[in-house]
Amino acid sequence: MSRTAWVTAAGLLYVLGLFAIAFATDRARRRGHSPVDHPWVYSLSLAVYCTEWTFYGSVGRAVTKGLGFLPIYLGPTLVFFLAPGLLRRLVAFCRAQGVTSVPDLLETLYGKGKALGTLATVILVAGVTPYIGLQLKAVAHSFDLLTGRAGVPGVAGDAAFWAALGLALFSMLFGARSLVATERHEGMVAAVAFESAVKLITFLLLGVYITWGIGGGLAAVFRDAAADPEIRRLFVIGPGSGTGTAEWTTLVILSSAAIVLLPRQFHMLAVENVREEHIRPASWAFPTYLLLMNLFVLPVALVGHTHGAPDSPAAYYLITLPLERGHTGLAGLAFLGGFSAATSMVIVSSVALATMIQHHLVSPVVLERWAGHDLGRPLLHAKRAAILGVILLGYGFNRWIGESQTLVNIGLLSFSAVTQFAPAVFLGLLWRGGTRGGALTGLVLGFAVWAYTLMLPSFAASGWLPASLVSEGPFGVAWLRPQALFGLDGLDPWSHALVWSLVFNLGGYLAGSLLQAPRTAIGPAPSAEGGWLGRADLEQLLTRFVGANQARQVLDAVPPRSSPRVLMEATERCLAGAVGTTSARTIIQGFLALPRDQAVEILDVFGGVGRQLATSREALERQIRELSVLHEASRSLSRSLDTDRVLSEVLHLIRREFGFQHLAVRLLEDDVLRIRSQVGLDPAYVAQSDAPATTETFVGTCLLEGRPILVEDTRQIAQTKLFGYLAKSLPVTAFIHVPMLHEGRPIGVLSAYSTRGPMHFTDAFVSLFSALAGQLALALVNAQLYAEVQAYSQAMEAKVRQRTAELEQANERLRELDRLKSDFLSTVSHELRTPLTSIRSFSEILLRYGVDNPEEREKFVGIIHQEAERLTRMINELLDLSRIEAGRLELRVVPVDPAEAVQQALAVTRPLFDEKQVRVTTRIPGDLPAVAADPDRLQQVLGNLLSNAAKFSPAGGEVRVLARAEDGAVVFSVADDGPGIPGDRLEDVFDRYTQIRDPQEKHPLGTGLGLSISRDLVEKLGGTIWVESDPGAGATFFVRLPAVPTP
Amino acid sequence: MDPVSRRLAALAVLGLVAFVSPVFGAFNRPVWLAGLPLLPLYLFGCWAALVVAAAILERHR
Repeated sequence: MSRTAWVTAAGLLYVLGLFAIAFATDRARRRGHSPVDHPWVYSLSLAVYCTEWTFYGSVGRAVTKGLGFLPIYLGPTLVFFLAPGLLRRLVAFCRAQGVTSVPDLLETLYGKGKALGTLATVILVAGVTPYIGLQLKAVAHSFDLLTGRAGVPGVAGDAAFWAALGLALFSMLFGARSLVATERHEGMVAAVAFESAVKLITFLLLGVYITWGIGGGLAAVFRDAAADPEIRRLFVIGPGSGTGTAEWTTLVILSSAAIVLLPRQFHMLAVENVREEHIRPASWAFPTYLLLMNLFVLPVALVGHTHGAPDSPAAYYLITLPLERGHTGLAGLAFLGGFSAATSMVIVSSVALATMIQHHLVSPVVLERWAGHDLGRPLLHAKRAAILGVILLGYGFNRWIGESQTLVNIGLLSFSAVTQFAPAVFLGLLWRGGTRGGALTGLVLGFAVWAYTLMLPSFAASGWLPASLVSEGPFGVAWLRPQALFGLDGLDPWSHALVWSLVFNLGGYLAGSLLQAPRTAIGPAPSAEGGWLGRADLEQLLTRFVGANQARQVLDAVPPRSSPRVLMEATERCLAGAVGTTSARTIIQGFLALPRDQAVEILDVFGGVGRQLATSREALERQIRELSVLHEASRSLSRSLDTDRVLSEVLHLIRREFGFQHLAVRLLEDDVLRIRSQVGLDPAYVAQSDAPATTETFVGTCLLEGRPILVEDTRQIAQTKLFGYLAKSLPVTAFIHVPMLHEGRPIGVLSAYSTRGPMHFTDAFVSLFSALAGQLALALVNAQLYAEVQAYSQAMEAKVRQRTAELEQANERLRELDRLKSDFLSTVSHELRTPLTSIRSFSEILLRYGVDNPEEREKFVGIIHQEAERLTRMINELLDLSRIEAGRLELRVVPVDPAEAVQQALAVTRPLFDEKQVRVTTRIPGDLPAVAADPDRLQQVLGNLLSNAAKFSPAGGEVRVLARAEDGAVVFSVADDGPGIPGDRLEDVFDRYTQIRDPQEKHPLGTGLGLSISRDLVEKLGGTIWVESDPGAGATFFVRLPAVPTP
Repeated sequence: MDPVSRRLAALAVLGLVAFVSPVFGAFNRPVWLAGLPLLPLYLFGCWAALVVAAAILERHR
């Protein structure tokens, strides 16, 4: 058996092994457990990044460009440190929106239209397909190297062709199992992860063998290398070393973009991600993989250079080095590693590209032309055809372009191409200002520059275009030279292209975005009208595209009591996975705009479902759903006691859950039904819709009879006046009124109106709606009670506040009184001291000096007597005051003759008048009735008035004392011609503790309690006392006492 | 972002400084260390250190 046969058999066996792994994984998944649901499998599957370009190409690159192979892996390493923060969000966004590729993502970010997705798809297919070709070429080349046969010219003898066919078969089987692209391809992922492990292990094994087995150890390898000046230069970056610093940086940037945006990477990262948590471990596991993969690149390159045959291609040292030493097995192992790297890339890339083609090139056309057909199977076949097409196209490139310069550079060309998506994708995710126009402009400009600065020179280098185009510029215009555009000279081609393409790309993006109105992104949320669609309708719709099983699975994954909106979203997501986001939106909208005659069936809220699938499961789901609506309603009802909020929350809940766009709650107020809360009704109608509760209206009937009123088709009823008003603003086609009952008494009506055609209200719906109305009634009554309690407590609070203020005032007055009292006490003690001082001094004179002159002695004794009397009077007054204050004053009321009382009082006070030579005139009629009074007290009052008059009258003045009868009373008056009392102090003279000072004397006269006590006495006797005065012309005091009724 | 994600992001910045900056330039010279060239030693050393740091940060959440 020839070596060719052996190698072929090994290759075939390996591919069959892949089939087995994929098949077993898919079977395991169908049984319910997923072998790929592990973070390490996810990290390994991401290693599809390492293609044959890594496996063979890195060694080749290292020989010519030194460390220039490394930045391709440093960039992704750094990006993956950002994975838990940023990539996780990207993946979450893609999963939530049903996004499966970069073109999908752009469509989702920048809204409706097909141009953006189509353009992106075309660019990616054009940029990546040659890369697939490169992989196939590597397979063929390594195969030929290993078997040692000369290249066979025909297609049939080309190993690459057979490899292409085998991989296409695998991809079609395991990469297009169903139309739903968002569904993961676990078999494929398992195979790819296995291949990643194989390529790493073989590379490490061979690296160890070559470094130690051939090179004699790491130190020896580098020692040998150090001897060669050609090699020494490879260990630094910069001019003359093969890789410049600018190129180094550029490669880091390009690979950072590529690790996310390359179709195969995006597919593995977002679509095949089983759990978002797997991204976290990948943040270190994937960089570790890259590190290990590159560990032996440099040693192998050095050993190959120093120990290998001089004519063997540097890229294939891994195969040629063991082969030259007769280790065919090891060479075969290397072949298998390279084969793994190439095949995993071809498989994943072809599937990712086919999905794009399907979504953005095929689906839009097919959906337009064959709308309404059962499209699941044809679309799936189309996808498989696309996979085959992409792989064969790649193979075609390989054969057509062959050994050209273009193919050698295709890896970095691809990287540079996908970097053009970076501004639109990342700015689109982070900045809301980017627009579709901006994204299109940026992409078109970026790719134009990319093609001009990279593709053109590459074609020229391959000899398909004149070399002068690059060296002298088109038509000899120097500043248009593709590798020195606008005079930017001295950079390597990659950096040069990156600079200009990003300048144009970003510039176009920003300019286009800023000149256009901001975008409104399409979310997965379908229009609210979808609230009418049932599970069955959506299942029917989905079945057309993804088949019955898949449709049922998608909808079964939605929790049983989810709202129609959630079902819709799941449906749209699934459709987006199958036909792309834009097409999915179109389908859903088309489905919602069904003609009316079909709609009747759909609008049957629950019954439709029940009729079509009268299974106990459906019934159960329905009941759970009803209960959940009731539960939510009662929750929002108990949450708030504000009537208006309660009403509007419940109406919005009904709108959301049942899709009624027009709802009203009418309450009975003073026998008039008035709209208290509403949704979607014309304000003009609301204003004129007050109606008395009579059986002439539907609402009135509902309220008065306390039963639901259903009108399933308004064309079949006689229109009432009220309904006429409503129909003017709203084309109502069906409606339902249910009474809001509280303890059997209707308090209002809950109404829902539909404008979407005649409908059938099932019993289940009516009873649910009635239950809601009952809850509403209860909540309203509660809210009213609460408001009453609230008002009462507010009134109480106001009262308490008022009382507090009053108490504060009283307290203030008490304080004032207290102050006055202490003032008074100090005054009184001072007054008491004056007579006491006189008495003490005169008695002392008498005692010590023994005044002999009897006249003088008598005068002294007279003064002592007079002062003692004054003291007695004062103390009496104080006693009176304390008695009055304590309420212990006892009066002996008897009839008293007024004339007699005046005479007695005059007799007591005569000395005062004589002293000042004040004349007293009295005029008292003889027929005055007797007054009811205590004679002593009356005499005290009159005496007080008289002594005051005597005090304030000027010497030689006159005091007039009068008495007169006045209906059942006697009025005494005492008038003096003293200084009088100011008008604003007339009342104060009676105030306790207040003294009107005699303007001629410094000290007040007496305790000043006289008038106050007089007033207390008079009032106690049932009379009144007051004063009238003209300042400067004397004052007149009046005392009015009740007369004793004559029998 | 949770603390671990923030620390990992800081690690990315650190890597950027190590791989493309004047710091990188400081090691970019034809010097040999224990029979091995300095720059590859530095690059792989940094790379390994970063990966180990990331693994520790991630596993000790």
